[in-house]
Amino acid sequence: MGNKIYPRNLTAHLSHSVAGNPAVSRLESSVANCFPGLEMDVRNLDRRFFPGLLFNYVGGPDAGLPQDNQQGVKLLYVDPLQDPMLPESATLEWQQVLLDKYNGAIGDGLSSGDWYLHSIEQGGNRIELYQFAYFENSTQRIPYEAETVWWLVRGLTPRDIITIELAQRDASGALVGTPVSLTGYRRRYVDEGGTIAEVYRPGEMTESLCSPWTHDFRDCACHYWAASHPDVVLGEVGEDTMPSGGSENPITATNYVDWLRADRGPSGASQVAPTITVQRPLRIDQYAINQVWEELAFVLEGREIGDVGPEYDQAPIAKPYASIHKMIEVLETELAPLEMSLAVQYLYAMFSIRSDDEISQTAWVSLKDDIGQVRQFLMLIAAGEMQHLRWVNQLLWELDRAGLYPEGKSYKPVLKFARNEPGERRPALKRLEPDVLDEFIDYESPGGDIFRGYARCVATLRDERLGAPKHLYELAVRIDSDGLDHYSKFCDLKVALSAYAEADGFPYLRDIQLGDELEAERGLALFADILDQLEVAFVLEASGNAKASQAAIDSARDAMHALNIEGEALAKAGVGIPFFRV
Amino acid sequence: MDRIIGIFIAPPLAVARLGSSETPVESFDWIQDATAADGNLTIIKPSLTFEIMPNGSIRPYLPNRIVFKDPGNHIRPVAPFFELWATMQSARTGESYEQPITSKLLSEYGVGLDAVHYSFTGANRKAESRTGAAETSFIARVEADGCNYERQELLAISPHSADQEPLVFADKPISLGFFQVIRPTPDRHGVGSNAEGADLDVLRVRFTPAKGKVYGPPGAIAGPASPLQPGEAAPAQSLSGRIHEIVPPENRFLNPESEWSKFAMDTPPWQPNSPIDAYDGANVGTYRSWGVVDDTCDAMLEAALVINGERFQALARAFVGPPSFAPDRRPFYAVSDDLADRELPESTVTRATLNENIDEVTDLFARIFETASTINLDAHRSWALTVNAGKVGAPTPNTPGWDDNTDPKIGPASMTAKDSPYVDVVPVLAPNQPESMFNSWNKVDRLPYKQVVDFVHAPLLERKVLLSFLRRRADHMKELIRKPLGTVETLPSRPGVDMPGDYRDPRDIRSRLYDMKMPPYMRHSMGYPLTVTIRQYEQLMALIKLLGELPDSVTEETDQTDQEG
Repeated sequence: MGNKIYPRNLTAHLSHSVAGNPAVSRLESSVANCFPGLEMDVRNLDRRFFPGLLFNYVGGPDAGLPQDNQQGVKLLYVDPLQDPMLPESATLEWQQVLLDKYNGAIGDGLSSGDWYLHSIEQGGNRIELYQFAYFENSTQRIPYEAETVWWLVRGLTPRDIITIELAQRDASGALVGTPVSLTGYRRRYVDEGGTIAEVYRPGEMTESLCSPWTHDFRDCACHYWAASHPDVVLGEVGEDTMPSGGSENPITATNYVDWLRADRGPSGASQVAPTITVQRPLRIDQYAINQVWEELAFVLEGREIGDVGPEYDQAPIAKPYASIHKMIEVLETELAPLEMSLAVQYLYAMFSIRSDDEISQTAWVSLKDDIGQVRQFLMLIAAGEMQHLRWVNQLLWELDRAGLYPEGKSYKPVLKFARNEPGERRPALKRLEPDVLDEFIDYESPGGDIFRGYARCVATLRDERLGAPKHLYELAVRIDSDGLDHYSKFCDLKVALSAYAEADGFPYLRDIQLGDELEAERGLALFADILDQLEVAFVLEASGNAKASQAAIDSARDAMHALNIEGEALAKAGVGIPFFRV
Repeated sequence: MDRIIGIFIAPPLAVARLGSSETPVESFDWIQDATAADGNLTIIKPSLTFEIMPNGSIRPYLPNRIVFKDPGNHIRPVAPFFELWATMQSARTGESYEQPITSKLLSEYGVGLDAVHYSFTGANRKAESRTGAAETSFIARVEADGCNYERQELLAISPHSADQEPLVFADKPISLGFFQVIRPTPDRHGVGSNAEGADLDVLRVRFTPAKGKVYGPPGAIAGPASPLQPGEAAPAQSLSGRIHEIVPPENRFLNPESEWSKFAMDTPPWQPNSPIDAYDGANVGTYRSWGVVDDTCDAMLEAALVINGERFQALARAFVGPPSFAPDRRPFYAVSDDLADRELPESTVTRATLNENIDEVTDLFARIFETASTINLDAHRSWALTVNAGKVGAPTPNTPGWDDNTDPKIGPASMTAKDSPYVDVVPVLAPNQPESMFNSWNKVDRLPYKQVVDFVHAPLLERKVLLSFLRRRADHMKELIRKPLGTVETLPSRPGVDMPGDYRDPRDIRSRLYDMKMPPYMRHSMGYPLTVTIRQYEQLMALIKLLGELPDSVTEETDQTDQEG
């Protein structure tokens, strides 16, 4: 719940939180992987890495143009007089030697003609800034382009002395004359006051950014500014919102749209494309963005909002259990078994969906597309329930390790099915027919019993009077949050499958029947193996052997993959694995 | 009496963000959400905000929600305050400490607010950096004593010699925003100057950035925009693309004879600075610049205080950027991380600092999720693998097999079941993805890879889950996370001849190819695949190692201690 400022990782005085300033005025909000960047270009620091010198980083000519070998790090000018690292009162030997060189013949030489960085040496290692090409028994030096050399300069530390060499080139890029050697320390880019060193004039830290800024904001080839410039977002929701702030409308809740779309109305709210090339024509163009950038939406929690953010409300939404012991009882007897039941019910439902290679008819041309999504979502949800099962167990073993179990009891892995589910529904393994999908939606709905169960866990674990270990409530929060995601995904599936509601039968479903133990012997054996391995893993991790537990988890995962293959094969043959019997 | 031994400005570095509203955005903090509904994500929480009154003083209040835009799509700018602080020496102990400078403190030293002087200089050198001509920069400077509360506009013009063509004429300046000294409100009634938790007597100034306008010469009226994806250019003769207005009529007053209107990328005498195509006019037709500039800048704030004839001075800087459109999503490679990587020694990772390291690494993973959750991974993957195919000259880029002998895979097999041992759950959770540079997109689920990212990364927001993962899968993590590029000290002197170092080598083409190592397919500075910083990487690896050496119970003890503390 802190304000997410970590002083150990900040240069001088940057940890100060100044009253009145929003978090996005901090450097933590600004992307530094830059080519060139949006708020500042950190590469500009390296133009003055060596005291008294200012460099330009020159790239090679574009492909198809004559190569002149003038690329690299080029000296723009020598300027010791305005460099605070080289005061006239300098006392350090390296400063005096350097000043002597700049003020003498070497300085005069460097002030005429074109000079390039030739080599860098630090920590006893000297690197020449050329690629060595061997051709017809001779060696040719091809200067590295700026993109490569910049990384070498960027990696210099201010703590050890460096020696650089500067050299001149002829028109073909070949070395001319003798390199000039200079020794000194890399500049400290941040001064004692915590700001960028005084030698950088106003305007230098942003000079390489785009002109205008909208040009790169629109379409730099970097595509990396998701924090201040999201790629994909969920659309703005209307009035019917879920507790998460998400939309009740399944399309709005799960449909990613391109944040930079030109058409901001309903006709532009199509799903984002999986390649930039396909999406590009639908985006705001260059030049147009100069005028319309303020129409772009702000995004909170991944969703576009209107002009105003939501009210801040952190009030607890559930009543804690009466005691930790009561919560342990609910976790052991209700919630963990429920997660396991749901996992296999959803997995069974996935096996009931036909795969690509089973679709051969010419009608229902959209079917292949839809079943791909349905299968992925069902697998994600089923795998999510298995994760929840693990986390419920982790909640339990951490409570045990914290000494919060009832006297005489201790943690034992909970890997069993629920006999009943919320609402007294009996768990059942069924094909994903519409009524089954409706039941799933009902389970996971925000008002449902599952949601309320974990919300009470969160409230209990956060109640300091009850003494639960710090951070443990986050696990329960995660399970709850996933439930809302499952709900949205199921609703989305319903929309996708509604296209087949009027068909005879269900063209997306396999003709699958619950098999018997003999038919599904291998599948059941694999499932039993999964549970055995998980039990071993949970026991090991609960006893403080996390690393050792991974071997059992790997075995469980292998068995899950095998079960997936076996389940598919059986389902294609019309046999459903009877994970449990009602 | 304690002695002032230095002054500084807080924050020393701040980001201001553009917006055309007259009202700056209110203040907010990042906090971790603690409700079931939002899954431990970072959210924004309104915090103490100052409204500037007509007399230059401030009124503090706490908003309950944040207004980002005013009617008419006027975005509220981020306008940072700067406070003046002193480093003090205790007369009793000799120890140093820091405190904000107030008018009360000044009076104790026998000086008034006029002993303080500010100057604020903002400059835009974007055109200069391309043309090499200083007369295409434009600069504004204002000055104020500590008792001058007038809101001063930063009107920028181009410096030039008598025979040079300035980009911005002196009689047609460009506004870079406003600078204002805040009137301190001293404790007049003996009840203290604090209000709403803020000391109103602190010496403050505020910088409000410009409105985000573009400016150009009279000819920058309308032109075709490249219809292609970033970095690509259509044939010059085609002038293809939709035609848009470039600069609004009222802002077409820059000098058409300036060097900026003559510039064109890839054209002598201008040498290519990376990136070369970052201006209006690039990648279309002759690539000639339209001569367009914006009203961003980076600025230096200088403060001077004279006490007893001794002059103290302090510097701070502000950088103007676009709005942070997703203000609750943070980059995992921020400017603050870059500066720390350049300037600070490596993090101390020991049992004594275990809790801090866990907090910091948990936050790193939170930031990774915050970035990853807004990324179109499917599109990034396709783009990056296409780039790879071009770099290595794959003759049939999307034909499976050409990357079989790469590790990790750099072509169609990347992040598929073939990409072992790096790929983990993707083949199961994104089933039926072909060995292709393009996903098997369909009408409903266009982003199968992105779905998996959310599934995998969201749980790692939780400290308990993350710790368990780091302990159990230490070896996998070491393999999966892309190593940073090495330094002069750690790289071999001659690549391919000397023994390779522990890090990736920027001179090696393999270091420039994208793959599914984390972070996957994202671009770093200068066009290399993205990594975390060396400092972040070493901290993470050291923590993984330490966790492997310590009993699991140690972190639980840490949690308990933390709670009790």
